[in-house]
Amino acid sequence: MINHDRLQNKLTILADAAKYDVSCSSSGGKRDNKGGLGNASKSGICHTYTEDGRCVSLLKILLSNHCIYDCAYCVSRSSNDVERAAFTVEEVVALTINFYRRNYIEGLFLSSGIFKNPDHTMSRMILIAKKLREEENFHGYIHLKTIPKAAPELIREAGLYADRLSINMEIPTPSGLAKLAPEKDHQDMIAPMKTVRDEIVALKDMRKTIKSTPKFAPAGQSTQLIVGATAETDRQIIDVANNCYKKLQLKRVYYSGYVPVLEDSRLPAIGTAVPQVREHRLYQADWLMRFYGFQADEILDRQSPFLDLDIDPKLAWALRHRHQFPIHIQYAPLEMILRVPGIGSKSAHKIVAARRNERLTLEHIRKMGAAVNRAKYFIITNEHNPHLHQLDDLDLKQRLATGSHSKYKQALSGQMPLFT
Amino acid sequence: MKDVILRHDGSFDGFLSAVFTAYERKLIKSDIRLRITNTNAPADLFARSFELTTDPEKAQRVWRRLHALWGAEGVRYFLKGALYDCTERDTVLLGVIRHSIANAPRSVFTDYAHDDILTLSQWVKSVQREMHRMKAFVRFAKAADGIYCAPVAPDFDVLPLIAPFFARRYADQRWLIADMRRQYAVYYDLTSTTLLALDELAIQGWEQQNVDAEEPFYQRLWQDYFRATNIAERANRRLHIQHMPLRYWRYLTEKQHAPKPITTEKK
Repeated sequence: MINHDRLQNKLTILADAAKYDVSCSSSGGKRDNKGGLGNASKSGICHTYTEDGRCVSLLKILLSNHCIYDCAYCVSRSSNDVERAAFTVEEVVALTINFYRRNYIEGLFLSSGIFKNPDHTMSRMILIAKKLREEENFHGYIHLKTIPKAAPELIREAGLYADRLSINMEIPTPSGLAKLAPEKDHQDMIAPMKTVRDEIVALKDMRKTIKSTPKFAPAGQSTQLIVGATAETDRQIIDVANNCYKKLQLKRVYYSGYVPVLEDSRLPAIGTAVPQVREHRLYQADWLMRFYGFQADEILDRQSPFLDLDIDPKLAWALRHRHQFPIHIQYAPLEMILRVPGIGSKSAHKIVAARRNERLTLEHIRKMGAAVNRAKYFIITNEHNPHLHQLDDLDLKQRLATGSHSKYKQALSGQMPLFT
Repeated sequence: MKDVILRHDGSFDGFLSAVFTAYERKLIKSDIRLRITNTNAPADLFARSFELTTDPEKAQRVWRRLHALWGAEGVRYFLKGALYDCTERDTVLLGVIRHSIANAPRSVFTDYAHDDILTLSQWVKSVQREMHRMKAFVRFAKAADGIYCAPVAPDFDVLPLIAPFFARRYADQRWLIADMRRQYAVYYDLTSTTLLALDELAIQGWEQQNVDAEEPFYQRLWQDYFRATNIAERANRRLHIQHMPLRYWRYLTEKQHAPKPITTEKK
């Protein structure tokens, strides 16, 4: 029988400790429900939003915040004086099922501090996933955090029950990691990622001939990079992310602006602003790589290792490559339409569909949802466009920056000194 | 040239009958500004106005033609747009039908440069967003008899569209979702879903049901969880409300101070 007060207390502690993990995606899974409880829908569903605006789709908790490691950036580090707690297997299962039945969540995101040793911790997490799948007949989403240095056999077992596996690289550079987490090594993170990648590929191949081959982490794997805890540049971060996508075939890389909650001489002081604008620009850069056909080395040129904070990276690219503009909205290939500042991927596809039967004007593309206040300097349409003359103006960047990013004005002025 | 207004009884068949009449009387000419609307819409002094009676036969003929024109997929798309609730609805839908027939057999739903087509696509997007939100923002509370109940108040009448989703997801639990704005509910009894009028529910004594003993406990846990996951250093109320508009809060467990009662309230 579950002790209500104790469970309530544990949930508060272990949800609080898990909240710095950004990933809450429940997409990409496809699990059918045959008479049991739950399924995973391809697009994922965000069930609520925290007051900081992040989505909540999974019950994101730590199994335990006891940890043998002492990583400087982590609230659960062994030297930090916090209240410790640990769920039992039954408690996590009961929470997941009861929250799911009330439609609070899409599933479970289980992470943990490392107690005893990596293998022991990992086995406990697997036990929970297994119980949910086999005893509770649960088909909702399960995301398991891989424990660094856990045995490859355990990682393979985890992938049979989980929809997604992930392991956080946290600090983007090996030198930064050595400074903040002396007990860890980038290889400890990359090795399990390779195991997962190889297993996904192998089982996918096998399923082509043997249909009953079990699914392995069908929603793939992801990782998280902490931004601004050490002195890495945006260029280094983008290169790491690019490697994750290209070599390790990750589904997602998350960026987490460091929230200073710990007193430590190796870290930014408490009270330092969270670098939210920088984090936002990194996500935009990530989107350019994943959905807009940009190569990593196009996003920043060699001389400047940091993203522009006052304009988005696509606009920055366009301003550096004005010789490639203007383009004709009626004839340019989709790849170039996608590179026009102010035209997102949805509007780009609408434009390409609509121009088959109509000669498009700025008004048309405005109605389709493009930000014409930016796009108008870069495109030719079938009517006279007086803004084209300004494409070569030296102050075009200034005009665009003041025109469209008012919502970050305040954050910017408070944050600039950090990066200059 | 005066505007011509065709008025119908407000049902979808009524609308389709009006479309039939528009073609039958050759009112579909470029020099006539034709509007179709329901009888509740305000009158226009300067327009010729016709009240039409709904004719299921005529409606059927139009519907068959539209099926042939768009296929099952296209019809679904059109119907989603038709759920959008506003006074210009019928005129825009008529515009879409005219544009489709004029360009047959070419498919026209991607002609985003055409105003009515673009408007329809935006309506479909709104309705789909509401469908998506209603999958997310339903909060079941468990009743003593084991049935999971949730009140909602969607902007558009999307409950029938998302009922199959809940039936698949909660295949092993009986549930009831009540649309408080439109006063009806969908009930799933482990094998199929049925629509119930809310007064009918009252007769069956739904709102006298007691809550399951564990229900207040899990509601409180969810509220605790909601608070514990917030990062105060990143507070962003604007974004919070953008994702979760205030009108939905009334039925969201995490936004209540005390555990929500199970009863579907009465006005």
